[in-house]
Amino acid sequence: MSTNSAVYQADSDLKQTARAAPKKQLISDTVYSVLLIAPALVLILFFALIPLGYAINVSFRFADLTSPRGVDNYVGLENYHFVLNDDFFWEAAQRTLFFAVIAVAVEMIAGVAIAFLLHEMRWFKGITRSLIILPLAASPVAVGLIWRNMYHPDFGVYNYLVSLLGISEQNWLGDPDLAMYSVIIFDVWQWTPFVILITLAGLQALPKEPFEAAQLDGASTWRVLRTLTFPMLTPVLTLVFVLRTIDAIRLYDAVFSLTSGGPGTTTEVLTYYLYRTGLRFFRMDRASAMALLFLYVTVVFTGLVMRRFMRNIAARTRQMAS
Amino acid sequence: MSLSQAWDRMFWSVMITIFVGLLWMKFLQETAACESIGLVVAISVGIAFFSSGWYQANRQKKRDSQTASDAAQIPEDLL
Repeated sequence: MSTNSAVYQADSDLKQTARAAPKKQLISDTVYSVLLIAPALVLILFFALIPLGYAINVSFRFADLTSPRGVDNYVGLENYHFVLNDDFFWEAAQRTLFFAVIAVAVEMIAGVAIAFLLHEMRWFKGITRSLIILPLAASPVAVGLIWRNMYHPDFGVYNYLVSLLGISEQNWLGDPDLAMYSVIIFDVWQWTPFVILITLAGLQALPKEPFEAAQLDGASTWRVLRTLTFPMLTPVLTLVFVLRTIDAIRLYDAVFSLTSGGPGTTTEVLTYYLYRTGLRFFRMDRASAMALLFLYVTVVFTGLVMRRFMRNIAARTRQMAS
Repeated sequence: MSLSQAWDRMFWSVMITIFVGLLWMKFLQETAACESIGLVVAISVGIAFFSSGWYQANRQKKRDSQTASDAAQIPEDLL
């Protein structure tokens, strides 16, 4: 046997031994995966599940922090009964719904339209995109305070702008008929960039081939939009719609910094009423019941939309597979 | 019924139970003047919803296995 073949033999023997006896793992795959998700689980436990459990517990008790009894005995479903028959709660719910419907509709339409325009832009695309997402980077309370000054009836910039158009000065945040629309305008300004950003990312990720084929077939722009672009963008648009709706229902900071729920209660949305009940009137029991009802509505809404969305995706995947 | 289907059905059963309970508290509690009846009705509706899903899933499973066994009985030369 030559030296080369002996070396080759020894090498292959070594490889076989290595294959036959793999390195013993220090920890199993299951333990490893549990360790990887443990930090996230601990965070969820401390910041979501424990407060949720506490809120559920308090919602079934008497908990008036101004009373010497504090958090006291169980009262059954009394708090839920109170909240469900509270007129202020239903009025706040109506205002929240009104705000969410108008704000999300405007944001979606404007956001998608601007995303299409940006997608078609040839020059200054990067800088325009950077400028457009600036409102997203700002803190809502800080920007809300700036907007409150801009809405000011005496020295606000909006009254100056409308006066240039020949319209009389308005009390943007003090007029009960205008206050909610002023909050909606602020929300649209702040959150339309989010819709733009996600839709633009979705548009850029679309495959080019179907559009080239449609162009060769002489399809009109409207037909391409209707049969190709929108159906392909549906998952992205659904996601944006769900995220924006949940956020709009949870509106708090804009109301807090712009109007504090006023004038009267014309801009008092559910979260603000919840805050007033719990942290101004210190009725933690009713506030907890309200918060849980609010959570219930959000979960059901998200579940219904996502269920439909997942079914559509599954049907499309089956169609593609067949 | 698979585990994920059972979980999904269970989730919606709980949601429906809560919904019926809330409806009862808002509209019927004043007339019925009894909380526990509402509770029983809500839980019954939830259980009925879950059981109907369970029954449907089992029937579908039986139908699928029947179709599979029928297909297996077809002589190969006919295929």
